[in-house]
Amino acid sequence: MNALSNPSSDGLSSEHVKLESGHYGRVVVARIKPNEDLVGALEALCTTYGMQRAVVRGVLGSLVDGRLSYRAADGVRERIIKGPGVEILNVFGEVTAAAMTNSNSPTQLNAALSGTDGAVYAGRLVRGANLAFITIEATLQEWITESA
Amino acid sequence: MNLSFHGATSASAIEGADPSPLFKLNAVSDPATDADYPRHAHNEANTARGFCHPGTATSPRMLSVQIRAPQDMRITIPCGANVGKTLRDALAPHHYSGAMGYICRGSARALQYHVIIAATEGDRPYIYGAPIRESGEATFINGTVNFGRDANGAVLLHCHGGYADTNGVLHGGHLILDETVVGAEPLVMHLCLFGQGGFVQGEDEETHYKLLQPYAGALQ
Repeated sequence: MNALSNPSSDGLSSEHVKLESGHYGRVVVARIKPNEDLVGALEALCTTYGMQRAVVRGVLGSLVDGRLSYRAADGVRERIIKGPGVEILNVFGEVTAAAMTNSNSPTQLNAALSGTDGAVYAGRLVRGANLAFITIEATLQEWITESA
Repeated sequence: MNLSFHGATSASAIEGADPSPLFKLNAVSDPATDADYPRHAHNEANTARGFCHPGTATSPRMLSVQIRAPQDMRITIPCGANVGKTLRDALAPHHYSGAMGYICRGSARALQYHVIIAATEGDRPYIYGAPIRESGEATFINGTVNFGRDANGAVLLHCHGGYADTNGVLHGGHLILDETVVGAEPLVMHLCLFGQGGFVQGEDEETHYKLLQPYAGALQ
């Protein structure tokens, strides 16, 4: 991990820019059962396999209800997609092992969902509020940071 | 449809997901509206409702397996091709136990998808509704697919995807790749083939569906 020391052209300090080199490691697949929270389950999956960080290769399945958040002018707002039977079309982002969620980079995942009328929504998955309905199938791949 | 979600009800049932007397929602409060609201207005821990399926919930609540010998691939499916058949045929020479992939780009000139609706009969409270067919050009915006196996080793494609119709309206759901024909733009997908391990279809005691479950074995 390298901290860049050169000042950026816009005058902002680049001291806190971190450029990691690394590589992808193990691939893990999972089935998440009903009423388990998607974000929490993926974090637990990382912990189970001793993966400090992983990228989402693919997630699909269904949710009891979907809840997504986004930043608005007046703060963070949330949108509920009422189910049961909200479909997960895909999920993007990286997962941090549950034991590391107090770190500076907690898990934040973005998703595209479709409602029971087929309408599509996208946003950030709200932790604890996206519970599996019938099943969720997930594929994660480990991200291994190499030393500087 | 490749997974064993059976049955369908009238199209009108798609409009409303009224709770069936066959199931019970464990709602502390009903997050009933689609309207946006400030995060602070709700206590996250109290508003996520669960669902009680007809069968017995079993532990552990997550099943997983590590994949051996994953192999990344990219496929371009030409205009006019059936997506499901093309995927099966193209990967057949490769000895893979399972795979996953996602749609990068492309369009369809025909596709079919399903959404989940309340059942009116049977012991499964929710089922996939009647097919919803798109006959105009559909521009894919995303899509994820799992290549599972049935008990006989046949490939099962489980895909969820979204697209924009010719008016720019977005739609999405359980996409049937065997009913999807590539449109004006070739379909590009990135795939990860599994040398050993993946998903195999099995009965689920809790939901009473046949679902894809992780397994550690290799294709015989």
